[in-house]
Amino acid sequence: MKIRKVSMENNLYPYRSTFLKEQALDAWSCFQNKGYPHPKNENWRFSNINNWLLEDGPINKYKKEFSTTQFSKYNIINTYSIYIYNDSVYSPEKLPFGIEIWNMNQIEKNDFDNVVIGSIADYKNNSFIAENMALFQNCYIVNIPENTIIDKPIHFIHDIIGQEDNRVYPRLFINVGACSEVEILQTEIGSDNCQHFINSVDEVVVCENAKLDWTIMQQRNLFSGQVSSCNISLDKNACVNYNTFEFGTGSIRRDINTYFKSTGGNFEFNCLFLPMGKQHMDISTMIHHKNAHCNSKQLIKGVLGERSSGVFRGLAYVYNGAKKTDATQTNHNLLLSSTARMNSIPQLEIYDDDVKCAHGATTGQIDKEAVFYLQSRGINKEAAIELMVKGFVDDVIDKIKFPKFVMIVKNKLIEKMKDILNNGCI
Amino acid sequence: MISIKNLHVAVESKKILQGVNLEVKPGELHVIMGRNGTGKSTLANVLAGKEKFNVTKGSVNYMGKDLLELSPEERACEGLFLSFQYPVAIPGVNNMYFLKAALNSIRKYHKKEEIDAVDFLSMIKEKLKQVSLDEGFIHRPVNDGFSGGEKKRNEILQMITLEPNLSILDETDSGLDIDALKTVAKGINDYRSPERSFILITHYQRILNYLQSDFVHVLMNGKIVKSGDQELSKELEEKGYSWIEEEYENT
Repeated sequence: MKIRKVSMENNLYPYRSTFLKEQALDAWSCFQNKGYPHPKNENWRFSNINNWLLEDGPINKYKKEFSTTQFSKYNIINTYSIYIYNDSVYSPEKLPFGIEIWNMNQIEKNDFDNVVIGSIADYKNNSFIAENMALFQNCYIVNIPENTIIDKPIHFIHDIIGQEDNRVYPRLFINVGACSEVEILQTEIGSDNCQHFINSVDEVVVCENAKLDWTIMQQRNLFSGQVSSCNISLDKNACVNYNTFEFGTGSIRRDINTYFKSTGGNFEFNCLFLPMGKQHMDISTMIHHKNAHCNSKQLIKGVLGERSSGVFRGLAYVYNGAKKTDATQTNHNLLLSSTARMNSIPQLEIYDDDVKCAHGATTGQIDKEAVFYLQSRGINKEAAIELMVKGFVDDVIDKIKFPKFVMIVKNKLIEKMKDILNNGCI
Repeated sequence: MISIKNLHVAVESKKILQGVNLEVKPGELHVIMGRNGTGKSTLANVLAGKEKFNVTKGSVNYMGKDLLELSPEERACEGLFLSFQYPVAIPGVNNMYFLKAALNSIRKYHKKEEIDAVDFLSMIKEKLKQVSLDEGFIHRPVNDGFSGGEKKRNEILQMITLEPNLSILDETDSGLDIDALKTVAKGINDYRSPERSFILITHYQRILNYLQSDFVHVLMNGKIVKSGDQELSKELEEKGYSWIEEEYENT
């Protein structure tokens, strides 16, 4: 069992000395008890994160004045950009009526019913969430009030910059008020060449009849390790589409924890991960079907090249009483090389008898006959493989609603494919 | 057009073709017949450039070039086309997108400008009519979930779109109903011209009711053992292959 040796008190940010102090201390003791997950822990069996933890590295306090140009090149036309620099928010333009961004100060002074940091992310059962709860330096809160429809998507551009071996604990809380509708795009970048350990926790509350569409494109630098958990709570008839596209980091673990707090919720998760080189990507979902008439649908696709590895672990947990649950999990993986590895563990746990659940997983290689077929029509081997990979991933990319972001993800995919095809690694 | 000389081909250690000689001139249609497992499809695949086969001996000259030195895609760009006996399904890849990529890749090879989507669409609509397929067809994934007839018609569609000089049709008539057979034969007939040549591999004389062939060859034990005109195919239909075998053994 590994336990962080540094004293937590030294790491408290001025805000944290009073605000959420009890929870932080409690989380810290949970973390001390549990330690980092051991490779023998079933949930972490295929992901050895130890090399990425940077246990002796300092917590990031790097507050260099940053230029907005490092962010603005990622701006997307017709979106509201919000820049996030490590764990602080900087919004470059005046936000439209209907988007509120708060810092911890404002949260501490006011009482917002729905915004209770730590209420969704369960730190008692997850060491990384506990570590983040104890050590996060700053939390930013995005609030969409009731009955608000945001005309354009919000675009978070989240950059991680620090000194070598820095550890960063971003924390985000999003509240989508009742009957509101919002689309969020998120570009996760790491624009320095230093090794970092990023442990981020997002908490999302989607109130009654609200709708959230959230698409993340992750392209952090290859030296960094990241453990992210997104914890989503859906109220009555709430609807969430959560999509992630993983391109970067040396090693990433992405946890999605979804809680249906009432009936009629609808959750969709789509993910494409593309590890190459020695990258490792682990996608883990846990859907708590606690209430009746809720639907969850997961589509996870992996394209793995060179010596990379991937993990999909999905669990739909249907509680007793969650009648008419409809839960599906689909995982398809394409291995581009004989040295790439994929472990897929789709799971269902069902404690009610009036439900519809399905899961399926496949892992295969590029069909050589199909490559020859395309070649015999004048398409060269690299283009043939690219065409087939595009065909394989198209249905996941098509889940992105915002057309410009579809193009950005597609271009990133082509760029990454080009790299490995040019290396002749297939 | 193509001149195959003393071609020997093996898969792993198994010898399949043992000295095939064939000369196809522009405008000619050659028919290759023969029992199952005599190497007809091997010949077709070797000419298209499939890696699995080893050419142990012999040469193939295609329009002044050493065909065996070219990669499969180069062969295609040089105007060689293989209509597959079993067209491969490629899920997720849109038929139109695939055809456009293939056409543009060939155009690029010849240093021609790429065709734009609008021109391509109007062109493909014309071609679809020629093989009696409706427009929705090109928006489906390549050969995925196609019926036998649709797959074969798709091969002909690709042929008339890519406009090859030499088309090798590997059992394009197998598994077709009577109407589909006519459509496929019509597609081939419409495409014939004094510059274009065909090698048609078939088991049945039936398609030759609709096509005028110049030569009929019989492939046996990895060699062409008998050649003749269209009458030969009728004779084979009646008598089978054993009389040729006897004739061959006697020589």
